Parts: sequence; structure tokens; C-alpha cells
Amino acid sequence: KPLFFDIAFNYVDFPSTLSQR
Amino acid sequence: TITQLFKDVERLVNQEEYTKALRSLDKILQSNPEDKDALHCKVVSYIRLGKYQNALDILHKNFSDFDKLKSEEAYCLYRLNKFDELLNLLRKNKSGNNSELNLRHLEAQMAYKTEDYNTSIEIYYALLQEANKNDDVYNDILTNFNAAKAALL
Ligand SMILES: [K+]
Repeated sequence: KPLFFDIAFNYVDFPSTLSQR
Repeated sequence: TITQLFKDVERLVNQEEYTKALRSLDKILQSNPEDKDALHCKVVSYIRLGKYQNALDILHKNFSDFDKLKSEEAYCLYRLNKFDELLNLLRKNKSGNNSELNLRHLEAQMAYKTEDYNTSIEIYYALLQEANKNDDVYNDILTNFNAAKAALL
């Protein structure tokens, strides 16, 4: 099977507000 | 205190200690059950641990359509092979030919996973036109575009 990246995973992230809580 | 617990969460996720982060998040949610930041962090922690159904359960229980974490929900549906629900979500969030980049990537990945290689190729072709060759993601998109093309042969 050819290489295939899970690019969508990069769009899942912790909230940017976390550091201000 | 809540502030200290959030500091712990921040440190633990930076250390990729997601199971420990979940414990601190549960402490926050014991006093503030509706805290959206804590709930959002729980969702992402579960996703990083590969526990997509747990993440989805939190999303369905605690996030309305209005404040929904679309990327996270769509990603869980993709990993759980819940393609009908994912298609629904993608349709609802499409205006004309436009939807957010993350959702277009999921649409392309779902097409590839379900062996609809023509759709996958079409989406990656468009994403390549829009991407900058200097972006890190450009080569990843090109790799997936080529994988879909190779799969058609
Ligand atoms: K995958």
C-alpha cells in the first residue's frame, strides 16, 4: 500500500485559551 | 484551585501525558461540570489516546450545534468509520463548493478509505492548487494525491 498521510489529525488541537486559564 | 489544575493540564499535555491530564480535567469538571475549555481538552486528550468513541460521547452530550467542535467530531467519525454521519456533517458545513480546510481533508481521506479514488484525487488536486509549495503540508498533500492516483491503476 502506498504512503498516505493523516493530514486531518493536524487540525485537532487543544484550545488556545488553555494557557490563559 | 482551578487555575492550578489548568496549569497541570497544560504541562501534562505538553508532556503527552494524556491519561494524567484526563485526571486533572475530571477534577476541574467535578466543580465546574460545564467548563467548555475542560471539556474541549478532554475531547482532544481522548483523541490523542485513540479513544474516539469517548471523545464523541463528550461532544454529543456537552456541545450544541452552535459551539460544536466540528474538526474534532468529524475526525472521530472518520476514525470510527461512521461515514454516513461524517457525510452528514460535511454536507451541513459546506457552503457552495467551500468548506473549511480541515473538513476538505477529512472528505478526501474518507473518499480514499472508501476507495472512491476519483473524489479523493479531485479534492487533493484542488488543495494542491491552493497550497503554497513552501508549506510543510504541500508535500503531504502531494503524497496523498499520488497514493489516490496509484490506487486507481
Ligand atoms: K487514518
